[in-house]
Amino acid sequence: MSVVFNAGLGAASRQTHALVIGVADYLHLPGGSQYAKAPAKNTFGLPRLDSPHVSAVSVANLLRTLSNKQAPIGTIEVVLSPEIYADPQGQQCAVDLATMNNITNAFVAWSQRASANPDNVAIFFFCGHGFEKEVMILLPADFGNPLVANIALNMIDFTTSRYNNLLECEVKTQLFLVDACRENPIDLMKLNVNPTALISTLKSRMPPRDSPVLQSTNSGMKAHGAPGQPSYFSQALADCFQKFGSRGQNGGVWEVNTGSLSTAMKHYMLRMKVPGVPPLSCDATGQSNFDSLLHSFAGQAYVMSLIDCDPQAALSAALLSVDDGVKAPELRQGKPDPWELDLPAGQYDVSATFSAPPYHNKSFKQLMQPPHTPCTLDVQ
Amino acid sequence: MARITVQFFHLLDDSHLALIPVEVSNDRGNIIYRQAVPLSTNASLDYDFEPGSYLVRGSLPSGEIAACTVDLTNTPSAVAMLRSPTRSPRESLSWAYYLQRAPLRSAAKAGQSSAQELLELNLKFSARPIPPVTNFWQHGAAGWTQLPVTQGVPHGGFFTYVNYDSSVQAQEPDAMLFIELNSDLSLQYFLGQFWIQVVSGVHSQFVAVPPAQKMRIYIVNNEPKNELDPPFRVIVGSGDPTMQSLVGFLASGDFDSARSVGDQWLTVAEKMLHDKLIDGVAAAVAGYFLLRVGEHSRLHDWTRNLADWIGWLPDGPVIRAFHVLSEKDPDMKEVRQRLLQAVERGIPLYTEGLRMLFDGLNMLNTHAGGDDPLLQQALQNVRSYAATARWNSPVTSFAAIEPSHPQLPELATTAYAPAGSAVRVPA
Repeated sequence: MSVVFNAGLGAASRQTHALVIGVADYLHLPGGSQYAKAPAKNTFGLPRLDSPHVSAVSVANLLRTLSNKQAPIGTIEVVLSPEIYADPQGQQCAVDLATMNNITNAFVAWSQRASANPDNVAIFFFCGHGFEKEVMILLPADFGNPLVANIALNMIDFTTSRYNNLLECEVKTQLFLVDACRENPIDLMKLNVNPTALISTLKSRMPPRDSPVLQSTNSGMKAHGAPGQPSYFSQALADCFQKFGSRGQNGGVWEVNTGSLSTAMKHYMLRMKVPGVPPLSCDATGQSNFDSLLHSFAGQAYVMSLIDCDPQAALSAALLSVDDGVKAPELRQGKPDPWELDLPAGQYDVSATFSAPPYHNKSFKQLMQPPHTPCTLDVQ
Repeated sequence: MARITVQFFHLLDDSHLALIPVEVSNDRGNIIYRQAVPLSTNASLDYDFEPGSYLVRGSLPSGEIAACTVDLTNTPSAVAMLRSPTRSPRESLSWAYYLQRAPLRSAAKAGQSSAQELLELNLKFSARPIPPVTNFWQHGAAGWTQLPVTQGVPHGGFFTYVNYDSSVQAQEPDAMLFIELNSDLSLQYFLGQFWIQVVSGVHSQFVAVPPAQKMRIYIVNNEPKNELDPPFRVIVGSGDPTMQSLVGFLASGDFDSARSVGDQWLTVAEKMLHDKLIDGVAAAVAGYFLLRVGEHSRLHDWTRNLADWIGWLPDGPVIRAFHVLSEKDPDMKEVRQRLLQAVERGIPLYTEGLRMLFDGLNMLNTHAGGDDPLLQQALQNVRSYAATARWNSPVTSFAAIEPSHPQLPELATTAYAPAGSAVRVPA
């Protein structure tokens, strides 16, 4: 068991329980630490990864900072490959290796911890290799172990695992964050086996749940991350929890809930433009019978703003300005795209000026509130 | 005290009847009012606002947000003009751009810094997009049969009006074809499970077209990201605009907006369902919505009627099965019978239904320890569709050359998919 954070709250008291899994070292795949002596018979073209370990560590450390009066962070369990975790102070410790067996045990333990109070919040995060067939498949570190004849025993059926957990685990709020590819390789289509669920259940009644699933790419697509850096999805999560993901203030603090996080993540990832990488996206699925508070913060919230002109052709000739009346205004000169600008929440004078006809200068006051506020200047 | 009226800036077809949630926040970021309003002009918010500045934001099923700031300091009323960041190229396509996950406009793509990389990716996986051809199919007791659908105002048949319109390419370079099919209520019932097949090169995709009085299909160019990604995207708009917006919100994972819109629409839907299930497809959407947002108590007994009375609709028994599963002591015999009944009828028309059907059969099969041959056979059948499904599509969509044998193109025995029977789309 690799609980790297335990607030020591009573088991039955309302709290948030997180399970964070990151698989970079795929032991039996090319580049993996056991590949030389025990290579997988079929690698499906998959190599060792760089990003998932650092992504999972950064997400685990992000979750430590969650502030939720209704369900404060209680425990964070981390399962990694390689099996080293570093806390925010850089203190390293060994954790369980992210093998199928250890992930299964960690999942069940997390589910049981969360079940202690139905009003808890359960957060699951996985970063590593994934496929999508009729179900979403996640791969543990020992995928392709040549000693395991049935390859599917080391393939996680995420779809059924989640479904079963919604039935089996009493907790009403279950947020699933999946940072993995969703492609469907031809070799996988030919594979006549079924992946393995992490938890089973004899229950069949589906009670109300807030259980969104946020995934780092759309169906059939690859997920991306820069080598040695947190994945783009993990970066988006950090920024959305800490800056952009609130949906308004309540009692002087900005609140991030399951719905607003989902909205923010979708907009944030669409705005991430990475040279050499196709457009990024965050896919939100699952079910949600109500919204749940995840985090709140005081101070400054940020807004993903989008400044546009109507007609859009005017953008190329426009000097755009966004002025909060305090600092020097933000300016942008003549480009064909709408202007994506991250701003502190507040009120701004937004203007478009032109040095020559046919467009008209335009200016107005605009409130900018998180997560996303677009505004269009009608300059016809 | 002052009032706010909301106007949607863009011209709309019947999408003006669709409901969207609007929220109003003050200058401190407190959300002080929410209401679902129709996209039609001059929707008045039912709230008296204190003097001040307010941000009015509407969430569109496309995933975009339209926003406007209004100043109520010295005025008894103000209009919040909401503009969508993506604009429909023509009024008759507004349903596709505002009520569905919006296709990226060519103009928007042209300005992106990654446009060149996208172009290179596109060239890598599809040297030159092959113009698609289309076929229509029905599925029923007799299995899969092709249904010729010809341009014009047919006499007899299922449609009162058919229009294949490739002129959309003049307004949106990425548009390939717009098909509009009109029917009426009695004909819809006989149309039953209705599908469009879109074929381009090795790619052949079947997409459900839930029967409605107005069925619209918009085929747009898609830049393939890998070899399995078809070079086209098929967007289907079918039925009541608010129902479409609800499907859009659910498909994009915007559950909060779905709940907001659904609460108002449900009152209408519940009445419709009580009134002998006039529109089976609308009833199915209402059922999916209620299950997805946990309003099980409002499902009453009409899920049974939906499953029993609309005999051609596979979605009905799926909804019934999951309604039973939500009850305190689920009747597992009925759950099993309903899921098998759904498979016997065909493939659910909505992706939500395909997901539920697979998950339900999978659960029952596990509980039975693999000792129930009928369940196993049904699961195997559904698995083959689920394995080639496009899970992001609101309506069910799967890859196949022959609809009874779903498969990805690379696994097909023939090198190219068959030609379509309809007009070839101009390049």
